[in-house]
Amino acid sequence: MADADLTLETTTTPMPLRACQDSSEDQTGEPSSGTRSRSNKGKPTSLHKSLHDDDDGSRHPQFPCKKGSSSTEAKDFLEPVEHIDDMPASLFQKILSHLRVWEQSPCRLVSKRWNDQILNHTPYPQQSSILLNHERVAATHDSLAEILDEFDPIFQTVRLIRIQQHQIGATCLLSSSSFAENIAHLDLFHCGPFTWSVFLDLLISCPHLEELRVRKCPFKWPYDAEEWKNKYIEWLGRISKCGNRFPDFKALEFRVKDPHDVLYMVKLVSAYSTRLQRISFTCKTPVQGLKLNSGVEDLDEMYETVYELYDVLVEIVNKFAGNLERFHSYLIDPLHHRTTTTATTAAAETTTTTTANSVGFRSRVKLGETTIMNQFCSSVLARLEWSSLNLNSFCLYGGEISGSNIPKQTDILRNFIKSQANLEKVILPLIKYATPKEFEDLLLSIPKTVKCIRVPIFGRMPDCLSFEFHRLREYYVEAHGTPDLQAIIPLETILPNVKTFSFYNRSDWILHTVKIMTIINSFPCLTELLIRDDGPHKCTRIADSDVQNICRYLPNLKKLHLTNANCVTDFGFTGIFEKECKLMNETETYTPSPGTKIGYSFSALQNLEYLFLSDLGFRVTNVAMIYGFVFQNLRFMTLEGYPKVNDTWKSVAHQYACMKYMEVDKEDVVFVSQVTPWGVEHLRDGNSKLKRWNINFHDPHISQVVERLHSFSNPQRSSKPNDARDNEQPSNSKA
Amino acid sequence: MPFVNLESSDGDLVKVDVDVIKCSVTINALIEHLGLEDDNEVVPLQNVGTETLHKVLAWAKHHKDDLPSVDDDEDDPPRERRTDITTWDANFIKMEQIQLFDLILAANYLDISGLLDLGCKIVADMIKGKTADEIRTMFNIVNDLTPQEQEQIRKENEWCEEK
Repeated sequence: MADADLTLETTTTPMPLRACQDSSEDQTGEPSSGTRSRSNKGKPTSLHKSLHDDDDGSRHPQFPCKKGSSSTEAKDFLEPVEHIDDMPASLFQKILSHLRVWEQSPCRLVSKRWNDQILNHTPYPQQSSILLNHERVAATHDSLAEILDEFDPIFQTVRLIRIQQHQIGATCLLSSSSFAENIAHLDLFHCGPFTWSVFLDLLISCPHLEELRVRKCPFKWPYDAEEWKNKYIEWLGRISKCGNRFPDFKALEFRVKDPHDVLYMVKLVSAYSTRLQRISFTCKTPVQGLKLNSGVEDLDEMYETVYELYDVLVEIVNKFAGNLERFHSYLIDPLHHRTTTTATTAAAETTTTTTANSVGFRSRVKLGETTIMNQFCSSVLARLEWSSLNLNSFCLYGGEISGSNIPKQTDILRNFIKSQANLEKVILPLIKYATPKEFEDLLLSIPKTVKCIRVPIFGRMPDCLSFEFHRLREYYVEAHGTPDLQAIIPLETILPNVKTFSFYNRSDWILHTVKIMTIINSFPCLTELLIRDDGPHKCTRIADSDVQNICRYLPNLKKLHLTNANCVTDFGFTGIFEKECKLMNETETYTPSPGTKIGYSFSALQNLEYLFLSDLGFRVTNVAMIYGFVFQNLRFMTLEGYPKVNDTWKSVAHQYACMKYMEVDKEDVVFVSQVTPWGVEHLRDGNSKLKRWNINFHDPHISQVVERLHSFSNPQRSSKPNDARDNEQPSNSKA
Repeated sequence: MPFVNLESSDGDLVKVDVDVIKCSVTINALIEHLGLEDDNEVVPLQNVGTETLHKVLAWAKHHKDDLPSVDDDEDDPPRERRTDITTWDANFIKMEQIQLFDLILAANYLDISGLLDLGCKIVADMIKGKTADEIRTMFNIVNDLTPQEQEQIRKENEWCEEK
């Protein structure tokens, strides 16, 4: 490595000692640089050589120092750097070190040299965070340890993505103590499956951990209740033996499927943390048929675990009451449970009788018989010491309060929220069949400090709400049942403070132009608008006029997410007469005649950074791609087409689509559209900042193919693979 | 106040207050080492053009009263090095790419960490948020990656798109 250094140094520009060290990994980056236009070979000078030889770190450069002026040598020296690739590697690294890891990743696509540079140097001493994914770990197995040894960098944030248990060793987290010692934030995403003992080793190696996030990481444990308990004691002993007390630990986000894992994690935190501030966790209703990672299927065991988890939660919240800022839960009701509403209601009624008071919860009432949110309210929220808490973020994601327990549970929730004077963000669970009064009371209990709320609405709402909507910055609505728009947005109110509005329609309420217009009018300063509908009813109708109104009245939008856009045509996206659009498609000359543009182009939303449109109809064609989707700042785009075709077509096309185009879900999707690959390409060119895109339009040939096949009325013949993407005219070859 | 004469690669002599140029570790060490006392002594900087040298000096002059950077604060390890660029610096650094690269090289050569950081940060800001295509255009780089390699890199890059 040292040799490589020297040769490199003398062929590139001179640099002081400090920089020389950094270039030690340059050997891979340098030779492959195909774009270096010039080399400075043969022009090393005594000056920088002397700087190099000075390897011991003390800085006594032997400057040739002369009296009087002389410029004879000047010409003989280095040419100025004109190209970024002429920069010495060490300086290039320095530049990279000012970029965050995710800002570097697009740079990898620039050229070989850049790619090598970035791959080799991400773990740079000046960076405070590092991301290790399985590919990177595999690639840098040796060099990572080397780099860590050499530079002794201080990483405060370490994110692990898709690291398998056997790769943990390669991340150097366990081996290099000084590396792990400085870690304050550890984030595990899609990692594992881990066994608990390895996971504990990981924790023990990071004594100064402040924040632990574990998401979507399964744990592997042969389940046995006794074994768990014994092991738990063993772990505690192991941690104490290491002398690690995690003095700085203050944030836990543990979103793991299995309640056992959650339970023991929370227990651990409870035992070791002294100043917990933020806690987020998942809890899942145990139901018949739910398989856990621990392999347990015994419902009784699971209920026990959930009860115990609730107990520990109460304990932990009361223990850290003064410090706690954030309390988020992700409660998961299993899907099939939700559909059997009547059964739930009936079950819940029986529950009420057994749980006449909250102590009764300890009886053998099974969580599965009522919703997890009901239980959560009565067995966690009801038992917290509200007065000592001062949360600023309280979110209950998922779950619903339902059945005849509503008044009681809502009361608990309301009192809890009311007691939190400094709350800024609150996410409320769905309250099924709440009366308008109950809903209003709940809404009014929300403290005035709140900037972000999510209210789920269901059924009729109070006639007038005195809630101070104008304070809100972020406003999420989840509609169920047959909601009432006035409840969401009081009549004739304008809420300029609201920057984010999200409407999630799960109701059978038809959201059409008039209502969308109301939304647009009420929130004139939106930067994020989300109108989602993936509920069972799909009653949202987004039409041309809605898109036009959005373009006209919400110029500040940065994020737009619309589903059910199947009524929108080219006109909606381009503002060009529909007839003209049709003509352009027919003649394939994409220049509109003068005077045919009468509306707004979608591209008027020049601040847009994120765009998601799904269920686009087949009336969206290349014209829209060319005139409607040109955004300077767009970074993420998803366009999905779901046109409706008749059943016979569907079966044929579906076979075809399944074979060829993508992993289509069994029944729902047939992609047929007027957007050609050419149009999609155009789309790419028009949006230069696009980082990630996902466009599920399909080759129009598929519709031709389908048509032809249909006319042959012999769908079986289509079973030969025939990729229309590569083959310009697949239908011909068929015929 | 003692002065030192710096000679640029173009052969021009610039007389500089030692106090101003002390931010350059290289020159500082040199002065200490050689004990320059005579005002007529000349330090040839063969790597720094006149234009760049003047730029460096302008920066050094403006920042001469800055407190030395506190790097070795035990309690607070270098968390974020992204301190904001001051308005003066932002105006100062507005220049052509070539000049900017020269300035970075000069700062590196003279070992002026503040200026080096500033320059690198500006280049990093130029890169930030751009696509590979834009970066190539901006710096006039030829893409020598094969489509397979690009595909591979795209795949590996997927993580950063995740939330």
